[in-house]
Formats: sequence, structure tokens, C-alpha cells
Amino acid sequence: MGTKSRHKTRSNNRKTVAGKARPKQTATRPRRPYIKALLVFLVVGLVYLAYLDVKIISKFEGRIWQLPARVYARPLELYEGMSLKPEQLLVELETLNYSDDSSGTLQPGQFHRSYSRFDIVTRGFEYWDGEEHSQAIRLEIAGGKIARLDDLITAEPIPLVRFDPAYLTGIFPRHGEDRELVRLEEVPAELIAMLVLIEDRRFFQHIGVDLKSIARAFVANIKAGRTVQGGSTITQQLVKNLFLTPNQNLWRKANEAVMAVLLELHYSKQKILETYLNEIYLGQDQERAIHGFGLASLYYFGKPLQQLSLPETALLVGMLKGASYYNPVRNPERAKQRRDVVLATVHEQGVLSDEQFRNLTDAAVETTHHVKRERYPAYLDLVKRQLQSTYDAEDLNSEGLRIFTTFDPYVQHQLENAIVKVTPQLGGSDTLQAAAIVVSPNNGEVLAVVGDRQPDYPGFNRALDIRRHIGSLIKPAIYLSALKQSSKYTLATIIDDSRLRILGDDKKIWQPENYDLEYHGEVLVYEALLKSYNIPAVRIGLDVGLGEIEKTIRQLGNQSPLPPHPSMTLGAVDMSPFDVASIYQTFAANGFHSPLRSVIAVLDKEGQALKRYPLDVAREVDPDVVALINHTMLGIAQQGTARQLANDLDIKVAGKTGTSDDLRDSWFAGFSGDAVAVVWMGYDDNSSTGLTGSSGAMRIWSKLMSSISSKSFEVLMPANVSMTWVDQESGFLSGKGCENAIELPFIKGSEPVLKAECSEDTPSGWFRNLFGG
Amino acid sequence: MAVLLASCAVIDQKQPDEPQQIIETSTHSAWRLSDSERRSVSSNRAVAQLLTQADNLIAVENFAQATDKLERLVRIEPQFAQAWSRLAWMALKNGDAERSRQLAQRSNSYSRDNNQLTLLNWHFIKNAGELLHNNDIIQQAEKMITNLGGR
Repeated sequence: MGTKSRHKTRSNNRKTVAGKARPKQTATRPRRPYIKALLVFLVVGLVYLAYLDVKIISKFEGRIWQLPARVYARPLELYEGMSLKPEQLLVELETLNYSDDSSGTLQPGQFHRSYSRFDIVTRGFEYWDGEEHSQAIRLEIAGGKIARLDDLITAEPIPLVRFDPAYLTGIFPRHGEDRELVRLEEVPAELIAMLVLIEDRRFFQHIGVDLKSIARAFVANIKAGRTVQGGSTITQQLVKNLFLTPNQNLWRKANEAVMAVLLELHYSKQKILETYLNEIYLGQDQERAIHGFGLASLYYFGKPLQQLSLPETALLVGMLKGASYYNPVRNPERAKQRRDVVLATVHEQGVLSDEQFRNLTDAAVETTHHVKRERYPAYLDLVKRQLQSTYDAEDLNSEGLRIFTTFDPYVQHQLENAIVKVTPQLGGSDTLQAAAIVVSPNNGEVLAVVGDRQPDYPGFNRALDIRRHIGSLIKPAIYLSALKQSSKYTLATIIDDSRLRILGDDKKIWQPENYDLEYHGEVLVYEALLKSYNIPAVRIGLDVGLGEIEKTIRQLGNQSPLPPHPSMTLGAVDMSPFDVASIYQTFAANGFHSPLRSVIAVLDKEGQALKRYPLDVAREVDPDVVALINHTMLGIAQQGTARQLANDLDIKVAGKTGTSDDLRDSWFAGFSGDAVAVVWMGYDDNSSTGLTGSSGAMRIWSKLMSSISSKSFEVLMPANVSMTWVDQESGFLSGKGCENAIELPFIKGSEPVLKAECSEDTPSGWFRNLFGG
Repeated sequence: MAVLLASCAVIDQKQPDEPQQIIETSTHSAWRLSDSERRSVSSNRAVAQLLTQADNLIAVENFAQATDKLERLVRIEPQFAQAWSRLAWMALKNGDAERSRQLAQRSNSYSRDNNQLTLLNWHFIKNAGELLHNNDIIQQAEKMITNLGGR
């Protein structure tokens, strides 16, 4: 093998030598490889050009950008007579990024406060049910209500004002890009003129690359010995951003130039400019990348492009040189210098007078106050989960959907405040956790959610995901099950609170005890629930049947299966605050359950409604019976286990404390006329908190309700329910003036028949009644 | 459905002491405001405006937007029975019988001082029962309609 190879080599060498002996051949042979190479180069070049061309066209003809879904809070609506405190309005305006401006005429997105009077100019907004125009309003707050709501210009009363919704966050693609698309005709001419002046003066003349500009930059850079000037046109910058990497090498620059020319061949200057205006990177808001002038204008100045002042426009144009370096939020001085350079260039063109230029450059750089965006993780987690039933992740982070939620900024703010302030006061360790949810009683709209004692922490969402024993929170459902049988049970039925021993299926004896470890003898159903006695709850629960209790809980709104074990009657069932809120909303709405919802509507990027989530109601439990329980839960917050609330709050509320075995979980669930709130406290390792429902969770609940609620809860007494005086000890009929008499609601026909010694009919009764004895 | 609409779709006569725009756009005579409802509306211009807008939208059968207006209204005034009744009627028109029944019940829970509205809501419930082929609902509704003096 080796020998043959050597022979072959020699033979080849001979041919070469022989070839040199024939000059005619040697004159033509070297040309062919060059031609071939040239041809190959041309073909490859053409194929590559075609490839680039296809790449450009497919990008421009298809969807250029993935647009994140934008998530909004519920729109603030104001009307005369509405409960509103000045500090509440300030929180709302701050969340909306409205700025306090007392310098002159208010612009959309600005307000001015003078004591309890607010002058505000709202921003217009396109809602799913029509456009809301910008309005200039004046409102006066007095006594915790809006006393007047007038047009700021005409002073005519305005019935109702709907603000633009606060932007909460986006559901971003992995790269985190966000943008607010603008059409070229929406962009002010000043911005375009300034952009062209600063970035690419011959934009409207060149064919994608500008040789003069490149030559000028080359000379300038050679003179400086470093890169001081770029020669890239706007088209080249766009190509670089859309198709290429930021690497500075010759191959990339050549590609950029070729693609820029191709782009100009296919598309108009207007289309290229519009794409550039929407594509260009203009800063970072944590994980979110600010792209395009439309979003940059909203982000830095809180207003649309059309309302930018000349210095603000100059600042944005100046930022193109280095969006991070000249970021006006982080580096206002540096940003001002850059802005002034841009204004100086404009001044050189003779557009600005010397005086105008001085005035404009004297002004400091002012940007909108920025609310921290990565907030409300527990609430946004709920929104995403509820959307996942309809939309897949790809739709959510690429289609530019607009998601309108039921989020209430002020309620969320107060809930976070209550948890952050109260939790450390309760004496537990730093790992004592808290979670809570607030919903609207009348429609199940979720107003606020916190899933951690540090509300901004985006970890385990306890409000939705913990499964903990709910303790006595279950008792209203147990008594509701019993009171459905109105011929057997009423609030005045006597129950035996004495030792109880139950033989379980596992042959073990279970002996429930009251919290105070005492027995109270014969007590009314009303008192048993009021004071949260355990033994009567177990007796009644076992009498009506565990299956019946589970059915009632399901009718109240719980969807999870519950274990049919006797200890269920003392709340040995696992639920989350969300589950509990679902049940208590039904009580708060007098028996009408509305599934808890955090999303009202989803719009596409053009503003067309894709899906509405309409208000849903279902009445599965008899409102007559619910009225009896609600009356008792009002009593709990007056004289029962939650009586401290009567001192803490100015309004009447209803609710129930809950404490699990060994004080592992501290719960409070309750409602006023305008809010249902459920608070849980406990340790993640299930160790004892040392807190009862009233000494722990209820303190957060109380602080929350004192700040967000202004409406007392009132039992909506159905026509079939009437109030009757009964004797507290015997449950017999009594009279208003009688000793130990208490007025309780009864489903008509179920009132006690037997009379106590003192009743309306007895002389002592009517005599006392007459003289108020 | 036809029976219901025939029995209830009486176009309102103008009443001088009622807000004009509400009378003109009401579809059912029972959607006339009772005295207490009128007081509630006159003391709350936001409610009056939204109700008027909703009725105007109902008149042109734009039920989606009318529903939006009424949902805004019940956020402000949750116990305004008239709004719930309109929502019930629109759900019925959209063929959502069970939802209509529930909304009509909700309206009735707040309509104790308005016999006509309660009666109308029971008609909605009866009609929903017919769509659901549920005799229990139909019979209960018929009984209530009779008790309230309706036909």
C-alpha cells in the first residue's frame, strides 16, 4: 500500500513537470480556477443575498414583535356620595402615576390637591365598553365621602368619572421586552425631526447606508484614536436590532449594510421609521425592557407621545446614544447633559431662539414617580391561574392582550400594611407567616391578595396554596346545615354542652373539649355559635350528618372534597384562605354565591373584547337560613369570640374566629357591607403559633377593615323571617322587657311555642315592656 | 319565551314625575321605578346615568354593553333590584336560563317594596324553568305569580 502511493506521487510530479514544457497550456490554465471561484462566489453571494432578503421579508410581513399581555387594575370610578378618604385617593393617584402639579394648567395625568379639594385631569382610555375621554374634574371630600364632583372648567356637576386603569405589570416573553406600539401618524413631527437631526440627517436621502456619513465617522475616529462617532443610519440601526447581534466585527457590519439596502428596496422610509420608533431600546425597568418611544414616553413621563414637551422629547432622543447610561431615573444629571446637547443641536438649526434655548436647558429633568412594578405577586399569581383556563402561555406573552382585573390598589395597600405592621407585634418568631384575601361581597371580585408576611416576596402563595385546618371557621356551615331543618333546629333550640365521647371507626375514643376546657350545660344554639363552643357543634354536626355538612359547604362555594370524619365538625378540614373566602362571600351576599374572580375582561391588542367574565350568581342555600347565621355572626363580633371588633371598628361587621389544634393556625373570616376578608396566620412547619383566631389573625383583620370599610353589614331579612324575643336560658317565648330576653330571627312557623315565665303575654312582661324595665 | 315577552313587554307610558330618559327606554312596565327606587336614583346621579345608558343599550339590543353598564351599577349600588332584573332579562334573551333564574332571584331578594318587579322576575324564573325543562321551577314560579296576583 505504501509503495503504490509513493509511485503515484512520483507520476503526478512528472505530469507537472511535463506541463511546464508546454507553454500554451500554462497560459490558459490559471484563469479557469479564478473564474470558477468567482462564479462560485457570485452564486454563493446571490444565495446569501436571497437568504437575507427572505429573512427581512418574512420578519416584516409577519409579526415583528412578541407583545406581552398588559395587566391592569380595576378602573377607579368616582361619584358624589362615594366613600373616599383623601389618603385613599392619593394612593390611587400614585398607583396611576398621576403627578401632583401646582405650577400651572393641569395636563392629563396631573392633579393638584388643596386640603380636601382635588383638581384632576384624567387620562382618556379605550375600554371594552367604549372610550372614556380625558376629563378635568374638581372634587371635594367631606366626612369620608365625595361631597361634590364637578367639571373643573364649567363647574357643572358630573355624575360619574371613570379613570384610566392602573398598569400593574406585563406577562412578558422570556426576553422581557415590552412596548406600546405607535403608528407613525401618532408621532409628533418634532420628535421625528429631532430624531433625524441627531441620528441620521440624510435619512430621507440615502439608500440604507450613507457613505458620506461612514467616511466622516471614519475620519473622526482615526483622529480621536478611538470610536467617537458612528456612521450607522437609522435603517442600519434597525437592521442591527432586529436581525443581528451587537458584536462589532466586519462581517456583522457588512451584513448590516447589505440588509439595510435590501430593507430600503422593499419598504418605504415611513415604514422603516415607524418600525424603528417602536423597536429601539430605551431603558430597563427591572426585568422589563422598555422598547420604543411610545412606551418610553409613558414610562418616563407618564403621558403619551403627543403630550411630550420639547425637552422631554430631546431627552428620549438623547437616550438613543446609551439608554442605560443616560437613564433619567437613575442618572438625572447625566441625562440632563445629554438632553441639553440635543437641544443645543436643535438650537444650532435656528429652530429655537437663544432665550428659548436657555429656558429649556435651565429646567431640571423630571420623570414620573415610579411605583415598584414587581409588586402584588400573590394577586398576579391568581390572575395568571384564572387566565390559564382560557389562554396558553404563548398567547399571554406574545399577543399583546390587555387584561382587566378586579385589583383594588387601595385595598391591597391597606392589606399589605396591616400584615407588615401587625405580624411582628404578635410575639412570634420572624418565620410566623400570614396570608389574606379580600373580596367584594356582592360579586365575588377579588380586591387584594397577600401570600407572605413580606407581601412583595414572590414565593409560596399561601393565600391560594396552603391547606390548613380551618378550626371553628367551619361552625357557621354546621349550624346552617342544622337550621335548614327548621322544624328541628332554631337558634333557640337547647343543646347539651357536656362531656361527649365518640367511638371512631378506628375503635379509638375521641373526646372533644371546649377551648376553655369547661362544660356549659344546656345552651341555646345561638349562644353555642356565638361563643364557639365545640361540644354542641360536634353534637349537632353528627346529628345532621357529615354528608349533609359537606353538601352545605359545597353549596356555599367550596369545590374541594372534605373527609367525612367526626373531627370535621371542629374544622379538621384543610382549606386555603381563598377557599374560605369563597364560602364566606356567600354568607356576606345573603346566600348568593359568586365564584371568586380576578379578571373582568380580556381585549386583544386592537382593543377588541376577546372575552368578558360576566358576573355570575348562584343561590344554592336558602337565604332564610343564611339570615339566621348572619344574625349570629353579627353577634359574634358584638358579644362573642370577636367582641373586640365592636371596640375597634366604627361599623358593624360579622365574622368568625378559627383556631386549630395546639394553636397551629389562627384564622379570622368576616365581612362588612362592602368587603369580605379572610386572614390566616401560622408557621410553615405547622408548629404552634401561641395565637388564637382572635389574638392573631383577627388583629390584622381589624386593622385592615378599619381602613378599607365604611359600610356596616346588615342582615337582609327575608319576608319569611321574623324577629322574636326568647328567653336566653330556656329558649321559650319571652318579651322585650323580660330579664334574659334576647331577640332572635326565626323562619316563620318555627318560633318557640312554649312561653317563659315572663313573656309579651304575661303581666310582668307587658308591664316591663311598657316602662322599659 | 314568547309567552313571557307577550305578558311583560308592555311599553311604558310616560310619567311626568319620573326621570324621562328612564321611562322612554324601559322595556317592561315593571321596570318603572318604585318610589323608593326613584329616591335612590335621584340621590345618586351615577346610578341614574348608568341605568339610563343601560336602558338605551337594551333598547337597541346591545346586551353586552348594557350588561357592562349594569355590572358597574351594582358595584355602586348592590341592592338595586332593577339592575338585577334587567341582567336577568338579558341572560334570558341570550338563552342562559340558569343564570337568568339566579339573577331574577337576586333581584327579588331586594325588591320587597316593588310588587310589580317581583312579579316580573317570577315570570323570568318561570320562563327559565321552561327552557330548562324543570317542572319544579315552573310550578314554584306559577304559584308565586298567582300569589302576587299575576297571570
